[in-house]
Amino acid sequence: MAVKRQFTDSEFIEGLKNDNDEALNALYKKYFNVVLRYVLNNSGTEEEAQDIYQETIIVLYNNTKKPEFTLNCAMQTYIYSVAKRLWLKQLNKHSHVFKLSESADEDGTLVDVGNDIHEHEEKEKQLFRMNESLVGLGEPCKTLIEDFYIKRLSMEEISEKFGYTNADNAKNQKYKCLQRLKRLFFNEGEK
Amino acid sequence: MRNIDLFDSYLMGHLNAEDKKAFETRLSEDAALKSEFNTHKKFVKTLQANNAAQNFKNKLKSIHKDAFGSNNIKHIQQEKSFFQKYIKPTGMAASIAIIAVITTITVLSTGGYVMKKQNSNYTELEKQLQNSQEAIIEGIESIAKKKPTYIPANFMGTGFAINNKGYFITSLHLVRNCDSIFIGNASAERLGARIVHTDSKLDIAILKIDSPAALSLKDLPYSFKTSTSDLGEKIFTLGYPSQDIVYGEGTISSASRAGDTNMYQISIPVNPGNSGGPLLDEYGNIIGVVSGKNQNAEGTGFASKAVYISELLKNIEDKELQKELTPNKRNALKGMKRSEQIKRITPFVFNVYVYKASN
Repeated sequence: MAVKRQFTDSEFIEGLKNDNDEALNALYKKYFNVVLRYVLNNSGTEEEAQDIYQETIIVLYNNTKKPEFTLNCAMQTYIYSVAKRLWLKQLNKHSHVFKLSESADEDGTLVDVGNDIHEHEEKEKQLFRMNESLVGLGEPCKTLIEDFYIKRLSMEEISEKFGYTNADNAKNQKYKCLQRLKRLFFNEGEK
Repeated sequence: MRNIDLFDSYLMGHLNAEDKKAFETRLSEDAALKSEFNTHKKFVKTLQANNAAQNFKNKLKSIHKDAFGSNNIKHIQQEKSFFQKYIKPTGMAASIAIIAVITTITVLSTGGYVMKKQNSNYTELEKQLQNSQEAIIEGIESIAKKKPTYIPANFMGTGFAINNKGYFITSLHLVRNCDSIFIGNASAERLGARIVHTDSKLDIAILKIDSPAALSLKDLPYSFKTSTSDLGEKIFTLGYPSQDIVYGEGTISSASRAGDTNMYQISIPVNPGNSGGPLLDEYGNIIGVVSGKNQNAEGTGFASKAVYISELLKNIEDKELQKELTPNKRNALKGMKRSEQIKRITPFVFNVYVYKASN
């Protein structure tokens, strides 16, 4: 059996930063049980633990992409702190009966991740709205927009793929689709 | 050339060095253009970031599946064998179509939080169709008839129109954490809907469809009651516990659900699928929205009170939305025979099809 590579905390950070799948895989496996145990002990289910853990990893991952980011505590402490904050928020958001006090079980192994969570939530809100707008946009607009902005296909390729008569025509379609997407996105944003 | 086209050519690196430089010079000189450009650039970035985020989320899900397995997988495998058994006699074309359906369900049933039920006595009434033979048979029949085919929704419930501008009300527990929602009834094809407002205390979600014209709804026959109804008042409901709309009648039996005064207890036997249905009094006023049933007492259900829903609609922070949601005030059902009332109300009551991770 192959020997699994052991990562240090800073190797994990470096790995996430560079989209190294091996590091992400190892990190994910290493800390899941910490979060699972916490969520299960606090009236959650395994699926909920999985969701909270994945959101935690996303917070960490996005952080590693920032040049100024440094981890100033143990990886486990950071993950535990973020997961705990996310879970408490989740409990408070969806239940009007059951509220957990945040200071009830301080155990000295937490770090302040308030800013990270706040930033994450703001970002998620934007992305969620974008995703909803794309769904609302419907086909063929959604695919056309994604082909252009994400797959970076040229107007000629798009024209051929969608059966438009020429690239200019495709460009007009893209323009119309984009305008509609913007309308969906910005109108939703007024909420 | 439209500004946006120029912006995109620049952002996607399609400009040659000379044009690129010319554009940058223009940007530095024209503040209005620059601000327009920055807004567009930010939008495109968000678009791209959304895609990257979705990919990353999927990656995490697959890591999790590989490392720890998942309930979803087991569930889907069971389903597959069931389908495989069934499709033998129906030939190759149908089986390909069905496998496509399964694959889509697989995609739809990952992700999203699954909330725990808050009270074990309280059964939420969304109808889970995942293993329903009925849906599968129907799927095959519709393939045969070459009608537009739909992937069976994994949850179904009821919803009804608040006005004729494309706004509907349904139960929050039905649509919470869903991947997508469609509504439809006998007179309308399935239309995509999205959630525009929710209230967890009242178990209410407001849905919006983007093409209200497709429904061509006339003026609503019913209005929302703005006061509380009394114990013993005769009431009725319409809902979709099955494919066809079902009528149920009874009385208000309690002004609260286990102390929760947001809800009436009603003596109407409600079934899975009734969630989100309208509760009306004799005069055709909407007095509530069916929400759940009491497992310990057969034949009793719960409904959120319309009086609070009216309050909620009035107090929505988003003023635009609030204006859009002004409920109908005119009641055209007073004094009518019940059968006539039902006939008038039915076009405004919809099946709500919900795709989400199953519990």
